[in-house]
Amino acid sequence: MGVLLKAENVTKRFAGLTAVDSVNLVINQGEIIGLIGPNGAGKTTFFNSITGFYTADEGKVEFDGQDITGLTTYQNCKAGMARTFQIVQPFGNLTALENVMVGAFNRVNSYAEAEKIAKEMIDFVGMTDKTYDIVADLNIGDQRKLEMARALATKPKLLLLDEVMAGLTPTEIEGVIELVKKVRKAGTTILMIEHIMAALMTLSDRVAVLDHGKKIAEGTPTEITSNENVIESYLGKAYKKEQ
Amino acid sequence: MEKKNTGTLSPLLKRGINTTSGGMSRLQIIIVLAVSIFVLLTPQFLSSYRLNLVITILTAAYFAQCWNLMSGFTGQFSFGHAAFYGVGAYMSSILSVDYGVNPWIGMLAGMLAAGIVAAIIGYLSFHYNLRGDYFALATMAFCEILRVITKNTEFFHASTGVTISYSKDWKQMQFGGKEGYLYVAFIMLAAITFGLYKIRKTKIGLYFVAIRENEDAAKALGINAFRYKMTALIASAMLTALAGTFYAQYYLYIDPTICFGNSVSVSAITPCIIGGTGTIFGPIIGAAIIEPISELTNALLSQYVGLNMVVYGLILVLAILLMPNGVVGLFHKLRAKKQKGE
Repeated sequence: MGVLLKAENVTKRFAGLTAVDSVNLVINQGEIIGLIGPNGAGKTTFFNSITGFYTADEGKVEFDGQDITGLTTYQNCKAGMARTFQIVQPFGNLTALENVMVGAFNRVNSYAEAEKIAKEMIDFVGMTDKTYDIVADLNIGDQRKLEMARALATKPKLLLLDEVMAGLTPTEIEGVIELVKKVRKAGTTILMIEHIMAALMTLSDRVAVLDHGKKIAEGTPTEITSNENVIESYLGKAYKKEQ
Repeated sequence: MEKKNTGTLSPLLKRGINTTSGGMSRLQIIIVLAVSIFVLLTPQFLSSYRLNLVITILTAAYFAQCWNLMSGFTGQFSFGHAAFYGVGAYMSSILSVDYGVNPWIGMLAGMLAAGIVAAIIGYLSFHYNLRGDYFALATMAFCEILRVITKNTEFFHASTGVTISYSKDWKQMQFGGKEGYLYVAFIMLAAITFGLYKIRKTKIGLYFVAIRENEDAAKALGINAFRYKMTALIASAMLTALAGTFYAQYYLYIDPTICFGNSVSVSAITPCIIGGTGTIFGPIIGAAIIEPISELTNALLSQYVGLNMVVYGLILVLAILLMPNGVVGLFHKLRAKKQKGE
């Protein structure tokens, strides 16, 4: 099991505010890593810094054995990183099929081939009946699943999920959990930000906790749920009693 | 889940979006063929004055399609498309009048020059990440710069304008009677429309539309947005230059305002807004509606200076209010309503 992503001392500042403060993180191939922390802890900023949406002020990111520090988003996608967004970013006026095809074109050039891959991915997330629907008309659950399909169509090595379960009903969450398991089984490594603890704890191999931009803990779900610091800053006393 | 708007023009751009990338229905093909045949037969029964209107519609539609490629499809709202139009017109005219270069070669030189101008505008704007309204304003400013330069430079005949000699020879890119120009304009429009129709079903076409819909998402999916925006802009500019050369060779006179005026830039946009931005046939439908209206108001209200513009503006406002997605959007809406009713 080799190292897929290695982030060293990644730091991102916004005019005096250090949103991400020297964060180190190693992700091994085939793992599911959870990233948790209170609102404003810097989780999404960390995502943006390693995927190239932001240029990190300090630090180094290695991906798949290559130094990708300073590469832009589309280059990182070509290298094998795909992400979903905390706030869904669909191509609203296009059909579900076309949305996913945009992702598929990351690896192929032919329209027919892209269409084939896109249909497979839509099938994979269980939305076959909505292939030709206009995405703006879909509900939030479907839009999130579609965003996953779109990211998967780029054939990533690492899939970064930014709160894919937010705003979904319990049944929909069940569906997404199964989906994430299926993605991992198909060989894709996953880094996920999530606030739905139950889901995150069942899925993750390891969990990293951010608070005020710093990584305050990392470990297996069991280790994290019993970590005093984490309970103090994020999970809350109630969580302790539950255990 | 609401997308953030990059500016106030953006909603204007988001409307009238072509969603169907599927093929044309049999009825659509029949309509297109029938209209084409009708247009090609107009020289047989229309007077020269009326033919002029048909040519105006065809060239306006062509110009609008050029704009549609980068603004309707790729979402980079240009408010200064006259820049490329003017470069095309001036390049071929100056070369032929002052240097005796054949207008056909001048046309190619104009396309090249417009491409270079577009590359400069695009590089400066996209490199510094100008989006939405800010990009539109930048294009407008560049266009105005070109107008002022042309107006004040003897090399470009300053404000006197350039008069092209009449020769009636196709080798000099003049096609004798009106029908010659009509056929050429028709071919230009048919070619660009067919091109847009085809490109929509390719990787590059889908990438263009994806950038319009959501540039951040497009980048995250491996699209080099800068490169594709540049491609759309340069292609659009080069095709627009062709329209400029055509204009110069048809009316045989150009000046800085005719070429680089704001109203020229606007005339690239209005057919799209009326007909449906980002659709394949919207700009043609729009041109067929707006050009006769503009001609009519000019003729009927000529004694009241400026009133024709008031009427024109009013029609535009009404069109935007009543048909926010253009004529094509209205059709889609009516069809959807009908399907729901059944």
